[in-house]
Amino acid sequence: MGGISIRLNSLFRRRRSFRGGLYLPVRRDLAVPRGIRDFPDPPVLCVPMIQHDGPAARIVVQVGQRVQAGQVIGRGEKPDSLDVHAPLAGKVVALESVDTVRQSDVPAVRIATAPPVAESSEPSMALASTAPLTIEQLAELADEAGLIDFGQSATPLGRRLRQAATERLNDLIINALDFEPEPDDRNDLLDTSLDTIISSAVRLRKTLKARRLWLLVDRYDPHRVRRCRAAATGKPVRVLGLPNKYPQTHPNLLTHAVTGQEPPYGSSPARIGAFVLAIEALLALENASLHRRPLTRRLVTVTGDAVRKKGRYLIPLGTPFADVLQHVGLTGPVLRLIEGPLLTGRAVASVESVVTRQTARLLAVGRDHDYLANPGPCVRCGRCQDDCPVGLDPRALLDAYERGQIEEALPLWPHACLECGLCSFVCPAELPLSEAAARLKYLIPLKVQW
Amino acid sequence: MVSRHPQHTRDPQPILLPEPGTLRLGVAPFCHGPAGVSFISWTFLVGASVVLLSGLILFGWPVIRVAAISIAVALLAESVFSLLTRRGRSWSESHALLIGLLFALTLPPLIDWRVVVWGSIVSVAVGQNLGGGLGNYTWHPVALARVAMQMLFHDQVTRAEQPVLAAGHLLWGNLTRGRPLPALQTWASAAPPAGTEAWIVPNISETLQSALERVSPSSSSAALAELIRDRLPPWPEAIAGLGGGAIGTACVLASLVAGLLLLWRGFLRWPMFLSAVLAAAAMIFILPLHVLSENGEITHFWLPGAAVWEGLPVGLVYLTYQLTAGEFLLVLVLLAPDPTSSPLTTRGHIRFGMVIGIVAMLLRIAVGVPAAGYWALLVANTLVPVINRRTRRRVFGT
Ligand code: SF4
Ligand code: SF4
Repeated sequence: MGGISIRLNSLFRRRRSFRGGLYLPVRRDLAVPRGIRDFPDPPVLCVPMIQHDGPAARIVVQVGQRVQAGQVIGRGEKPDSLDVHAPLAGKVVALESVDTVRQSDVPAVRIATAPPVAESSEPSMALASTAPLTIEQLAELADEAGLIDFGQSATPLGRRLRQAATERLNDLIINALDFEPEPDDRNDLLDTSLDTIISSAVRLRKTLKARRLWLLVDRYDPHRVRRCRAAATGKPVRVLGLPNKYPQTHPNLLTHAVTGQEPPYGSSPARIGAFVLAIEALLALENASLHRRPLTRRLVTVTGDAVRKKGRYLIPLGTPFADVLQHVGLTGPVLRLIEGPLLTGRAVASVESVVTRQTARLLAVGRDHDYLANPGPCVRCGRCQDDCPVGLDPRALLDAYERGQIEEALPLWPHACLECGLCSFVCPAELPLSEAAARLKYLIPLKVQW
Repeated sequence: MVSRHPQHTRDPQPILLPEPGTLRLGVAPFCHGPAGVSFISWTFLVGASVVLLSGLILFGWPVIRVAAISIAVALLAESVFSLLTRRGRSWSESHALLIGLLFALTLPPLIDWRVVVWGSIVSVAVGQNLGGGLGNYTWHPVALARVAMQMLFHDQVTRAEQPVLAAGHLLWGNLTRGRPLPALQTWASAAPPAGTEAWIVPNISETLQSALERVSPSSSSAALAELIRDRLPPWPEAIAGLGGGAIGTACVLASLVAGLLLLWRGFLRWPMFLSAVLAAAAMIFILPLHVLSENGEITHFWLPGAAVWEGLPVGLVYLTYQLTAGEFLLVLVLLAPDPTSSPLTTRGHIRFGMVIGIVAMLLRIAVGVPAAGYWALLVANTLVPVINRRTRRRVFGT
């Protein structure tokens, strides 16, 4: 009986989706106008030497020195450390330390910005060649340009490319699905730079020698899907419309949606020959490889009920959040400042923190719109288990974590957790489930499990 | 703190940036789904109120009396418990309110007040608090209390004949001024004589249970058709509640409305409802009715659901009556979806529903237990840990 039902299940299973997950309510109040709005050069920048998951770059400028836009001010010398560039021309006024959202006391260079001297200085990196690149060269360029994976993690993109080079690559997956339904940054990017995206994806496929190339778009808007299909005709790109059930954009779930295979426990899609790249990372890679431009600005979506001029701004790295808020204007007092998406972002402790490569979104929440969890006892409703995209039992993980029984969590597969925050989102008792799951992940080394 | 770079902004008014140390910290997620614990309780409460309203229309003010006593005692018992254990919760009141209301729904309108008091105390004190406390009990407190009352005061809670207000007297009529509904008449067709405000009608479940009398086994279908035609109210009347019953079980339509509300809010999982109904229907179809033949022997009439009489599918008609009679749908809609005493995953809920459907009809038809639905729920509650273990999801990538 059980066997039959399992076989019937697989017959009816929708291959393009996953079990669990949730269609998040659309927060129209967070929507921002289309296109990129102007952001004036801030008077002072404070550029941190760590803006990714990895060690700090070594500062190579001195106080009083004039710097050009795009000039290297920090050299990534250790493995996994990345070069840091001056986002704008100016003068180094101090070498200090700054708190970023993820780390405190990061060495930083403070630059008083000034208009560039005479000759135009389009930021560019030294190396220049139009010959097709190898993966190693591309990775090198990505590191020099200071690129990171703009997905959920902040791994250096070069490292990911090198990793991909060691495996036989079957599927190159370019993701244009938005992390949360609003604000829909990737849809906007897709609308404005579709041709660039497709041509650079095709080039990347050649470099990576991937067998298939996929462009994943939100199925919700059939016009957009059709437009993507039309733009891709005659090119080796398969456009796939996916329902954007949260957290579909996680690389492992995307890989599963495309290939039908699951990356083995605790591993990334590379293990099964897939490489997932978000479109903003693709465009940054294109900038680095074709135009030799380092990453000096970040497209940041500033929104939230306390923000007056919501929008997408191209902000120089190292701009203090205070300046960002100053420019966008506030409608009232800010109670909470969040960097990143609502479900997985981080609370900002001070407006002196700065924009880094990891800053994709800044949310200013006013008094009436903030949510403060008020945890109560679990009522065993099972929502957390039912909605978890990977089938974990977050309740049991929280239990093990709270009692300090780490070894009890071993058979519960903590490393499968995607840190999507959905369990906490749905829990009626408002328990900190995703936090516990994420912490257990770091408490239990993966190899203990294997 | 006033702007540090006034030249930077085009906004004429300087804006007030948050002072250092005033920003709220904490970890993601910074938003929450719509359902909180008290929201769940309140949604169930609204659903239960719809059912209560149907009872009020059918039975008049005695319904208020039963509900008021039950709720008051439940709230009182909960406060006493909170005081004793000092772990009062903001939502424990709404839960106690819900327990009190649901318990009232399982009782007939003219019940002795002492039964209500005892039952309410049992449900809150034993079922909810001694059973493990809020969010931790194994058995649904209301089903537990109802079954306990069934065993202690059987005659009070289940009667072969029960009153329902007559046409023209709904809501305001006096339930005690009743007389038996004339034979071969329906609620709609019978005009109540002066001084009569209610009809006393036979309990549909019990009628369905009664042996088909004085037939030779070959004509069981005919006997079944006769039973349905002569001794049961028309089906539309039965589901509207005019066949009488307990406050909440009489009107099946009201239960279904409450079910739709819970379905919409995601607290009633339709796979569970469907699996329970299908399982129950299958049992009704198969399980034998008792037939008292002319020579006084009791024989079994298997597969009554397949019975056909003069080309009419009387078996299926019997099946629909049996499905909508008594407490079964009320249990499915308002008691079984209780988060705490039901399984965790939707796959678990499907099995849970199947257990309820099968056990309820097995007990009702084969064993003849009154209030079989509550028993079935308790059995299913007991199996929840097993179901949870067997329906654990496979972890992605393993
Ligand atoms: S945070 Fe982890 S445990 Fe929670 S729902 Fe997401 S994947 Fe599952
Ligand atoms: S969602 Fe929350 S209340 Fe429901 S079972 Fe999970 S931990 Fe318990």
